[in-house]
Amino acid sequence: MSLEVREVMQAFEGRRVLDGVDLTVPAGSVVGLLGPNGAGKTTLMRIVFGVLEPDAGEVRWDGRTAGDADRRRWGYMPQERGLYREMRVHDHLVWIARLYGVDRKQAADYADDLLDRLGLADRSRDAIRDLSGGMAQRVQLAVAMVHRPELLVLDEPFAGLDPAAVEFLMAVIRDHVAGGGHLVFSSHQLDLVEDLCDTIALIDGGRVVLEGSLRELRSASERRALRVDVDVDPRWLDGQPVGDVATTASGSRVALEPGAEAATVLDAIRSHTDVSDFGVEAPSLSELFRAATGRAVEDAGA
Amino acid sequence: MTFRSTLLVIERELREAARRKGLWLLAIGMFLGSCAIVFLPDLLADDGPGEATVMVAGDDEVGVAAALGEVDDPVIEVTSGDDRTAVVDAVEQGDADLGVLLSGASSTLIVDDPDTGLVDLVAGVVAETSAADRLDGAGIDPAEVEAAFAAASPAIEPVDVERGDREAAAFIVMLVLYLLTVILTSQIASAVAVEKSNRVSEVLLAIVPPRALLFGKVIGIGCIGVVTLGLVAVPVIVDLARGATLPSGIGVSMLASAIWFVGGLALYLIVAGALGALVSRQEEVGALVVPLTMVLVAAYFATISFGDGPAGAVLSYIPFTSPMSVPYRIGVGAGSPVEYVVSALLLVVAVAVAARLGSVVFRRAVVRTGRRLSLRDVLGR
Ligand SMILES: Nc1ncnc2c1ncn2[C@@H]1O[C@H](COP(=O)(O)OP(=O)(O)O)[C@@H](O)[C@H]1O
Ligand SMILES: [Mg+2]
Repeated sequence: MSLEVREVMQAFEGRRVLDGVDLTVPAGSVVGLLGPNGAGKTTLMRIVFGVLEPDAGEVRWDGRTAGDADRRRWGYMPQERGLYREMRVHDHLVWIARLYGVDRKQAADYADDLLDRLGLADRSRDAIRDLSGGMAQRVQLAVAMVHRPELLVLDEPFAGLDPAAVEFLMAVIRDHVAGGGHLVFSSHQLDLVEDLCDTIALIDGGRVVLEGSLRELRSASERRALRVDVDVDPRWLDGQPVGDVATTASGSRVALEPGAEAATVLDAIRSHTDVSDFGVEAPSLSELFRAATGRAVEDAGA
Repeated sequence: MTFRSTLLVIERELREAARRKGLWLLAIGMFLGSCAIVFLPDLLADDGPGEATVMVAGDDEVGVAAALGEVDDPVIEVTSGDDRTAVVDAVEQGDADLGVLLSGASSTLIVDDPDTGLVDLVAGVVAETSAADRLDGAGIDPAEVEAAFAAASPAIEPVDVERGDREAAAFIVMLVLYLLTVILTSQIASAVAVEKSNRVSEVLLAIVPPRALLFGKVIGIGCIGVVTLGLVAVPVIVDLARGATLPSGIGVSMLASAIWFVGGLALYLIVAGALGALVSRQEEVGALVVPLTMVLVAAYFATISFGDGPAGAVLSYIPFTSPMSVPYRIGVGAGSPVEYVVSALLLVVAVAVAARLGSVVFRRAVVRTGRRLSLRDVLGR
């Protein structure tokens, strides 16, 4: 069983936002739908859930055009979070599960179980407005999965989360996929989700510009980067076959041009300072994005 | 699925409503108001007969004082005065409500205000007593004469009282309908706006068809209105069951009100719900609903000022005003059955049209956040 998006087109007020998007989400996989702000990720998810009717194209599930009955087996956490703030946590979850077609008793069991797993069991009788921001986030996630969906779609789930919350969310996602579920999430923070997804779809300008297994995409790329644990002054590398030099707290990352010899570049750096740790690395997600679009993700934002 | 979802939306609406204090206050307030209107007049009227003081002076050979003492409504306290001056003084000072001067065959009433019921009553007693005395003297049995008079006196049938009561009843019924409709109309618009600006609708739209969301809300909030109206009707029904004599208009008027209330509420709630979906922020909802409630206010005031005239008949044919004017016109008996039937049909058609248009507006508007939309934005193209 898999989710397939075929040739989806969507324009708003004459402006093309999605321009023939194809996407496949197989069972047991985590697909990252990545791209700068305004790329059309949210629009695509809304179309997947039938919130928006696309101008053209279709959403398929299990080889057929997806209908309401299929969509009831999916769960959605929209980018714009929203809950009935005056409702109690448990009531809210049960009500949502029943909307998905789960009967009342089962819905209550699912809600109890999920609140337990999310560490919210003792707050289940509280009104949502009385919860902290982080707890409300977890309730939002619970709303998307209380009916035990096969496909879980999370729009920008990591935005605004602290590292502990990211860890927690990742564990939930892994559980879901380990149980044979499908998962799609979106993010505009490419480097943040580097280690989280096995498959990615890079979306830009309304089209999927790069899609596939992240590992394969990386190794297939000609690009490599040299990582060293020192701050590199770009002037040390004048005349070397290198691109940008990015410096962070843990050292520098020097983009190598295709075919460049990493050892030569490393020697050039070592002639200025001692290097104790280094490595040749496949491109990062943002480097892949830049290679595919010719722009940096940060510049591409709408 | 739409049906099931609609039921669930209704269920949530009612359950959450039951937990809102404001709604309970409204319902209880209306119930108490209704109790007051139905039962208070009874309680006030039942405080027993009034009392009056009458001073009698002169030779009371025929027993006027004794006859006055037998009157039981009002209970008359009879005092005796020495002479004319004493009686006039007493009436002037307010020690007595009325004075009776007797001298032989003639009698005089000393009064403050000649046009009171007490004056008529005492004059009657005095006349009757002295007449009986004279008839007796002439050898005629006063009881026979009394019987003859009683048989000859016409039955009294007031004409205007009923109409006044019916009008008052119709006013009250209308006021209740008006208040409920205005309150619930604003409530649904802001509930929809909150859901949209709160982005709950984003979650829901992935699960629930938009029309289930809209109509679930309309029916849920509509039920609150009907229940409240039911509460208002309870005292009236209890009173009727006790065999009370309600103004005869109120029963029919209430039944008609129920029909037009439900239709009118449906119409207003659907329109307000769809309008609520146009806003992008909750604060904008007031500006959108005000024109709608203005129509209702205008209908209300037009009805109470000329609802029973020909202009009122016109109001009955306009679905947005008929929920106000028809219950009133039925209450005061101003319209014809044909008018009511046509009005009801037009209202039903209007509700059907509003339901279709409203669900289109709602479906298109509720997914478009970011700025306030106009009807042209959603209906155009
Ligand atoms: N309902 C709408 N009406 C008009 N424009 C919209 C609407 N929804 C999205 N857009 C536009 O479509 C583009 C893609 O938006 P979105 O799908 O939210 O991007 P992303 O989620 O990738 O950041 C943006 O330029 C946005 O302004
Ligand atoms: Mg987005």
